[in-house]
Amino acid sequence: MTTAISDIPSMNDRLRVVAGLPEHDAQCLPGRFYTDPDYFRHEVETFLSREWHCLGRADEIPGPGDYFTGQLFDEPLLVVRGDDGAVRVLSNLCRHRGMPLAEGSGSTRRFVCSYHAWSYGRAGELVNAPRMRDKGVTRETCSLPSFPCEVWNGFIYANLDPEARPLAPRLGQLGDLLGHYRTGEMRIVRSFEEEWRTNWKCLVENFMEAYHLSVVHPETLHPYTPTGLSRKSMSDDSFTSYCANYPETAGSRGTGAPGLTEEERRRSTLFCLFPTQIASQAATLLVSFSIQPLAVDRIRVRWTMSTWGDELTQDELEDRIALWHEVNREDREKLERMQRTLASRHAPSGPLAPRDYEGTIWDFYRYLGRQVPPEETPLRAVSAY
Amino acid sequence: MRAACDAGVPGIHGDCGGALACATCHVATDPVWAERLGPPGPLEDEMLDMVDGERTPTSRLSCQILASEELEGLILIVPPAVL
Repeated sequence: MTTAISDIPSMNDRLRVVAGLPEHDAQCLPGRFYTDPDYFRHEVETFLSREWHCLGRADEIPGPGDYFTGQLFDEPLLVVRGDDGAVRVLSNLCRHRGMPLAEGSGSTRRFVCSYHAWSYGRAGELVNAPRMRDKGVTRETCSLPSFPCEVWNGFIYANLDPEARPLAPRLGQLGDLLGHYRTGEMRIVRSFEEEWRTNWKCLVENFMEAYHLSVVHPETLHPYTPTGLSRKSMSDDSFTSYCANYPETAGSRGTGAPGLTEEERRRSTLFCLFPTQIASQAATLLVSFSIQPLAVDRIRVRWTMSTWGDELTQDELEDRIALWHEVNREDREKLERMQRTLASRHAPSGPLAPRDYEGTIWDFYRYLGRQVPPEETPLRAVSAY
Repeated sequence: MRAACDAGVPGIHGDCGGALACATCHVATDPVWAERLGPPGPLEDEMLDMVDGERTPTSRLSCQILASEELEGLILIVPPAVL
């Protein structure tokens, strides 16, 4: 029987233990971390809603007035390129009575609310509010609030926390890992949005471990990135990564940026920018997933495919898109089935595979461990009685 | 108004889609055309007091001017204060 009230402190004790294990003794987190709605709310309140999340690629909105919409937890977002060329992440509610302002994506001179025709410019400034002149409704009082936003290597990041410390200065090592690929110059091909019935951490862990590649993706990924050739790569407080190397027998996957080494051309470099961006960077292809947690067992996945210049033909790009849809189907099937069993009282905390195959999950747990408040004082144990 | 919006004429926005609810399609014309177009109705007249820039004697909300053959040659201007 599970207890009626989730014991967050004791779950965090368990997380500290798991995150503190040495690498060769690494274990996976017990099932409850993936199925307990109270723990999910705790994650959202304590760190998920204060972290940087990737919303998409900057070249999805290349020109002034270009925009797309999204949602992070409770915040509807409007991501728009201003007349000054800047990308802004604005609150997507009309300042009148909270109606959603923009929908979908497109390009516009101004955003007009469908309820009472209040209108806003491309930087979120109030432009017109009919009959409201004597009501103190002005550009100063009623423009759209904005959230911290950074563009790094062509990715758009937003943070719901106005006090968030800047992201880019922390990404030096990840920038070095990706440097030769010229990630910022990759060009958007297409974007997709799906809802998967799985806990957000399950997709992070799945994407970042090579252990499953040959078993789950025998025809789609195994020919190019078999489990056996994968090697764990760099990690620090902000990210983890691994190199999915190609067999010598595999054909070329393209040339890409001129400065790439042969090793870089003969592999896909996979990374997780904690907590919710997972991506695969290869010479001619960049696939990036933004995980938006909706509930303990539900996520929205927004993913983009970008390419290097015109090296791949339109047919080749369509083939790669079809391939990734198939890869996603293969993973999603596994994750949605596993989500249904993780609530079992017998959900294991089993050993993780060696570092090259599941070491990135250990890195991810150490990141989660850093988000937990420090050990609580013994006084807490006394007050339980 | 619809033609001006489709052509991207600066200053004509038509935020409410022609429902006399926003006053963002302000135009003016010369006295001869103003006479031929006729005066604004009471609802349009009320909204004209809310336009950006000063209302002029020939000001109209362009969403209320419906194109017809009789209007061949009509010239409308966007008052400079609107731009």
